[in-house]
Amino acid sequence: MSRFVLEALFIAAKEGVKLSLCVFIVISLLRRADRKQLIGSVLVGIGIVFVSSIGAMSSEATIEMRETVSKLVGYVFGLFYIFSLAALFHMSGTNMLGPLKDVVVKKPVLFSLILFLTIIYFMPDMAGSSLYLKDLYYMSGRDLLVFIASGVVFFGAAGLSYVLFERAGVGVTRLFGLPQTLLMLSLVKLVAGGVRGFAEFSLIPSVQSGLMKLTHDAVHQMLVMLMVPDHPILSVTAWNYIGVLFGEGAGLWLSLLLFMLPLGIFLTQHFSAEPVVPAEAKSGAMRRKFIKAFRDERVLRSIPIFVFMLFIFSNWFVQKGDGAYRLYVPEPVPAATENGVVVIPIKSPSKDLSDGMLHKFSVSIGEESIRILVMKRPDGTLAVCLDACEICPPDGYGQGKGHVVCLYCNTPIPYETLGKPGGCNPIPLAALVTDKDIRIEMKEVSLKWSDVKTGKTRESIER
Amino acid sequence: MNRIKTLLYFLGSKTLTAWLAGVFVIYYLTAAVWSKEAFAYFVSGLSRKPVFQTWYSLLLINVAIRSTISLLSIRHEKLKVLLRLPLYIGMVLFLFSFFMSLNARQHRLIILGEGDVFDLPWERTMFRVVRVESALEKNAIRTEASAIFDYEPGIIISDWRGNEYHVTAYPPKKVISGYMHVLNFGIGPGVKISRNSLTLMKAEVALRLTPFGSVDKFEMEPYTFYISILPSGTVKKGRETAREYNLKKPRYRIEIVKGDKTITKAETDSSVSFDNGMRLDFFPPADWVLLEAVYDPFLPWFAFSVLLLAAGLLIRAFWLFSAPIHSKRP
Repeated sequence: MSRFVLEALFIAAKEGVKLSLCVFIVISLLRRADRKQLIGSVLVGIGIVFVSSIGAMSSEATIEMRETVSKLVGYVFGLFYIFSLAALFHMSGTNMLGPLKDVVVKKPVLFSLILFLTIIYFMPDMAGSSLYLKDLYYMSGRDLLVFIASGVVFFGAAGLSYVLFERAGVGVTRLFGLPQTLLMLSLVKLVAGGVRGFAEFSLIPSVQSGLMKLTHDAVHQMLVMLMVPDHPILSVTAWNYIGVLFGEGAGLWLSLLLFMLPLGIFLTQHFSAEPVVPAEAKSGAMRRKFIKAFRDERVLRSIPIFVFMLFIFSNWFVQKGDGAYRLYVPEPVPAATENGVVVIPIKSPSKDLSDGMLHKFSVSIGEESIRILVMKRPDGTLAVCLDACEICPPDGYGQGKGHVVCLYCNTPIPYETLGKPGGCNPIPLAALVTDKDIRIEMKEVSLKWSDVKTGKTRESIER
Repeated sequence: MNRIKTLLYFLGSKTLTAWLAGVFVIYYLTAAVWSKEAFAYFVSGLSRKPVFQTWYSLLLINVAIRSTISLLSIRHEKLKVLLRLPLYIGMVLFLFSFFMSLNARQHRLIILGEGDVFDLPWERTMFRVVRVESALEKNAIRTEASAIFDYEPGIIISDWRGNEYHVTAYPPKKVISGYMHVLNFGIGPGVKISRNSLTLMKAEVALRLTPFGSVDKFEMEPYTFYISILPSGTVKKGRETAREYNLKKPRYRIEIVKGDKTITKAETDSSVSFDNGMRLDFFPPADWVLLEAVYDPFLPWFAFSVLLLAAGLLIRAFWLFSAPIHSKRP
């Protein structure tokens, strides 16, 4: 069996199990809530998702379309996480619906809402996986087995796992109210939301880098407000202390805290709530029985939340080692100069600058070695920049998943924004890109590099 | 009256807090996923865009009312009130001063050398630079691992009444009604350009020549002068080699361009002749600093609120962890 068929089987099995697990949890919830009539909206939604996936597979997919689908997966995870938090707080007594309280319980509204949520939940994953299957089909030399095997495995895995969940999971569904269901759905997406086969299984690295960027930006803003000078001038004194805030450890812990805080607040509220014994429970035994049931229910309903937190907590640091921080940092290759122009061939026997990987080159001016980075952006064009950021000392960049990362302050820079000036982005260089090579004036390189090393670029940001 | 009560109740409700938090998260998620730089856009929006300002004002009102309600609910337990006060006041003050600071702050960046005079739009007096405190040794030694600067730079300025202020990189110094601090430091080579003994220009030009080896330029029509500092010598100790830079009389690499043609390249510590009768002389360099001056009446409040908030959080954490001990009954 070829590697492509194997990967197609893996994708199909993953999507099949994911689909059946999510559908099982949702249908169990609707059954328990005596809302069986809404199961139809879930099924209609899945039908629409199937049709769209086939449409996506048969359409001419552009790079932008693939990127949009990939972004949508992460976006929908975020939405479901927010919805689950809102539902958790609503269930624990904070009215989250306000004046909408009476509107959302009406059947047509619920039907439309569930249909909409079903579509946005499944559509990006299914469409993304379908597009990837199509890629595998082409890469395998148009081997139809990719489609046939993945179709069989998808329906087989979905059916089989649904039957298994029905048999084994009935007791477990007691743990899931609406908030827990939404949280579980977001967890499933986080764990298995990747749509690039073996290369991208979970969304944790991208969620992590997004949150780390937020904490980094917030810390940076605080320092600007307090008039703490940026990196270079304090490198010999206070920067040694302030730099801790920008370090990998601080970013990792702060982002974890940000992610977990709402759940922690909810759990505190959840476990500190006192049972309100109904007036009908007149005897002491009845009251005790009610309180016992209340406490049991409370513990049961908190289990999915603890599972979610435990999963995130353990993976946060595992992924740190395996994903977000295992960066590809290529050694710079000396570039040739001709009459004051740096010339970098786009294709050579050992290198292809359009392969989507980060490429670094070095040129010498006097005793100094200056690094240039070249990388293909998602739109297919080449970004040509200095391997240095406008703010930090010029440690350069490494390549992560979906981002290049500043090696000094760990700020992730999305591939799409490479070549755009500002902030922690690598400084763009004016270059002539032809079919054969990239040509950069040596003076351009030298001047921009000089600006970086002396902090001139930083001033333009301040202004 | 009832409507006002209902409005106040809503403004101080947990529901509003949750909605505002939700709106921010959805904004951040949307902006971060689709257009990037969500936080920077949000912060700049707080001083420009009514939508962001409205959101922030609602949050501020909500937090203020909720903090007041919380304090009122425990008003009979004096110790509790005292211990929670820093956190609540810190929160409200932080949100308020951050917003006001963003909207009221005036800001200038000025390159200054010794003897320079400058003024600021928010001060009635002018200032003169009395002295620049160098960030570099006069005989600087550099290895690959060396820091860019040897010391934290500083500047002494005086106002028109003769009051002197010593301004360093951090913390910012209060100077009359504003604050100042040094953001960057550099060397300004002293240059004289002459044609057949006639001086055309004599000045100290503020260039970015640190870290050593960096190339900067200055212009005098039709010439552009590219300059960098070269080591005066090397020092060997064991296996390590260090470069030595004499900053009293630096050795420069110079490239002179006329139009788009390089007409002269040289390495010198004194002078270079070029273009039939033109001459560039170097005399001892001067130090310069980049000064950031800020007028922000809310900066002290903001700094104070950060301290209060940190203290409040620590007390709260301590209280939470020690609560089971307090509540233990025999």
